[in-house]
Parts: sequence; structure tokens; C-alpha cells
Amino acid sequence: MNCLRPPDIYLYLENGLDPSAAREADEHLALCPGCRSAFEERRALMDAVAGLPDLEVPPDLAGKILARIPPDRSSRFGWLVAFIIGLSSFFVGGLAYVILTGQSLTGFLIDANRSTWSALRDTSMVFIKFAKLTVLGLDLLIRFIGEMGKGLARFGVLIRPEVYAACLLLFLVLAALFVAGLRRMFLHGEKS
Amino acid sequence: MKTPSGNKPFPSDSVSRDEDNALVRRALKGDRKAFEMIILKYQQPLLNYLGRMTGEREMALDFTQEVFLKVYASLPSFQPRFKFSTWLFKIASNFMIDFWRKKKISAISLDRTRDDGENSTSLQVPDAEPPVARRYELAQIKKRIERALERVPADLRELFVLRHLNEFSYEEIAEIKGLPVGTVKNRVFQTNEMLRGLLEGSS
Repeated sequence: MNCLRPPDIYLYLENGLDPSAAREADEHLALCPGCRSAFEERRALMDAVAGLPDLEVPPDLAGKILARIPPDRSSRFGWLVAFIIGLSSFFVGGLAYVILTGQSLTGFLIDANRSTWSALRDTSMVFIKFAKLTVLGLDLLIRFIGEMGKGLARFGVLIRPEVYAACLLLFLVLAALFVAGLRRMFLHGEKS
Repeated sequence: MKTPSGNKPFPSDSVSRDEDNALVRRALKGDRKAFEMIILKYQQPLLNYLGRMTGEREMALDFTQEVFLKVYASLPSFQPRFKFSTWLFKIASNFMIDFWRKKKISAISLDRTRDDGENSTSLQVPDAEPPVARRYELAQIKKRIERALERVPADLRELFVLRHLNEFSYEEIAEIKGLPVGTVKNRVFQTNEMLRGLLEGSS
């Protein structure tokens, strides 16, 4: 066997050589003083590196980090708390209104009922208008895609098939790169 | 990967992985205690990594906090098919890359002159056990290695630290850095040799 190269020595030290190569290295090291010296030198270095101490972690590090994390607002009963607060505010507000204006409780409830229905009606109007706009937008998008398709078909007639295929391939590659970039950003979104 | 204490082994890779995934699930439900357990488990290896990458303990401590905050913010994107430790160190590695980019230090080259004063190069480390004269000798060797390591270009040093100090496998390092396993191995061996040369030169 030839003399051991540094990468072989490191692999040997880490038990990374396959069994037959490791056996050959064993035999060679027993016979070659130069390789044995090189091996010992690297083993000493690796031992020294392995002995480097840990840096001291302050005991309050975890506490400091946790203190910087805002309290979780989306707890399991968050919705219940919000509901109770809303309901309580309604009753307290209603009571204050009745006391301050001298209006009867029935009158207040009728007014509240009327206001609620009026708000609901206005909201539904806005929602319907929004839905109409969305349908219109989708219709325009479909037409645009259709026109694009026609344009591409005409473009395909004008140029040679190879050029057309090359353009299509280029477009697909760019699209794939874009999608891969997005995927990396969202899936491995750890990088700021 | 090297253990949080540096000595005691993890129960086993799969147990640790299940444990991590369970902690992540609990942390995602808002269980702060679970995230605290994650911090306690990984603060030591992360500080070791960041300490060797920055060369300054105070900065490494600040960065450790920042990385854990980033980890917390990114928890919803963690996928259990990845190993949590490699995912965490990927975030730490990207953090360092961003830091160097902002500081406009692409890599610390061997040619760069460095201040060899105690404050700039020495890392505060806890004392080892006290055998008498040998202790001083060992401390000197370790200090020389730390100093030599600081002169290794940052990209190579990072692979070296992940391999020898954090004890990640070559496959895990390849996953963290997005490099082929063969490239990682070659670069780690190259760094070993570079460090050996630097130590010989300084002796």
C-alpha cells in the first residue's frame, strides 16, 4: 500500500475507512515510520481539539430570552375571553346609557336591535359589492389568459418550432426557479 | 451532535428527535415552558458555535439570544421530517452569514492582521480540573488552538466548529450548509491541515 494521505489519516482516525482499507492502513502504519509519525501528529491535534472547553453559559440566559418573547395572545381560550369582554362591555354600556339618558330598558333594547340590524344590512351590502368585484376580476383574468393563449399560438406560427420550444423551455426554467425560491423562502423561512 | 453539557450523551438520536418534536408542538401551542426546555437543551452547543465564530463571548451571548428569538419566530415553519438540531444550526449559520454581510466581512482571511491582545482573542471558558503543571501546559495548548482557529477563514472555521466542537456528522453539516457531503469532508480535512500548519508556525 502507498503512504497515507492526510484525508486518509483523518478518515482512519474517525473510523471512516471501509474495513478492508482500514486493515491495509493498520498494516502500513505498522511498517512505515513516516506515516506513523504523521498519524500520531494528527491524532494529537484532534485530541487537543476535542478537549477544547465549553464556553460558560450564564444561568439567566434562558430567562432573558423568554423575557423578550411577547406573551402568546392566541391562547386556547382567547376567543372566550374576547366574547366575555364584548358581552360585558355591551351590558355595562347599555346600563350606563339607560342611567344617563333616563330612557327605559325596553327602549334601549329596541334601539340596540335596530342598530344591529342596520349594521348587518350595511355589512352585507359591502360584502355583496366585494363579491361582484371579485367575479368581475376573475372574468377579466380568464379573458386575459385566453388572449395570452391566442397570442402565443400566433407567435408559434410565426417562428420556427425549435425557437418556440426553446422559449417555452426557458419560461419553464424561470418559472421553476421562481417557485423553488418561493418554496425556500416559505418552508425554510428562517433566514431573515 | 455534542451534548448540551458537552459530556453526557443524548438518550438516543431517535428519542431526542421525538423529544424535540414534542417540545416544538407544545411550544407552538403557546407553552413557554416547552420553549424554555429547548433553550436549555441547545444553549450550550449554540454558544460554543457562536463563540468560536465571533471570537467574543459577549457578542456570542447576544447572538445566542437573537438566534433563539429567530427560532421561536420560525417555529411554525419547522417540519418534523427535519432534525431540529440541524434546523436550529441552519438558522444560526444564516444569522452569521447575515451578520458578516452587514459588516461587509465576507470571510476573515489568513492575511488579515489581527490584534493578539488578550481581550480580542481569548474566550472566557470555565476552568478544567486542576492537575498541577500539566494544567498550565494544556491551557496554553488550548489557547493556541483557539487563536489559530481565529485565523482560519470564517467559512472553513464554521465547518470545522460544526464537526469537531458541535460534533455534527458530515451528513448533518451538509444539510445545515446545503453542500455535498464530499465537499464538507474535504473542507474539514483541509481546515484540519491548515490549523496544524498554523500551530506549527506559531510554536
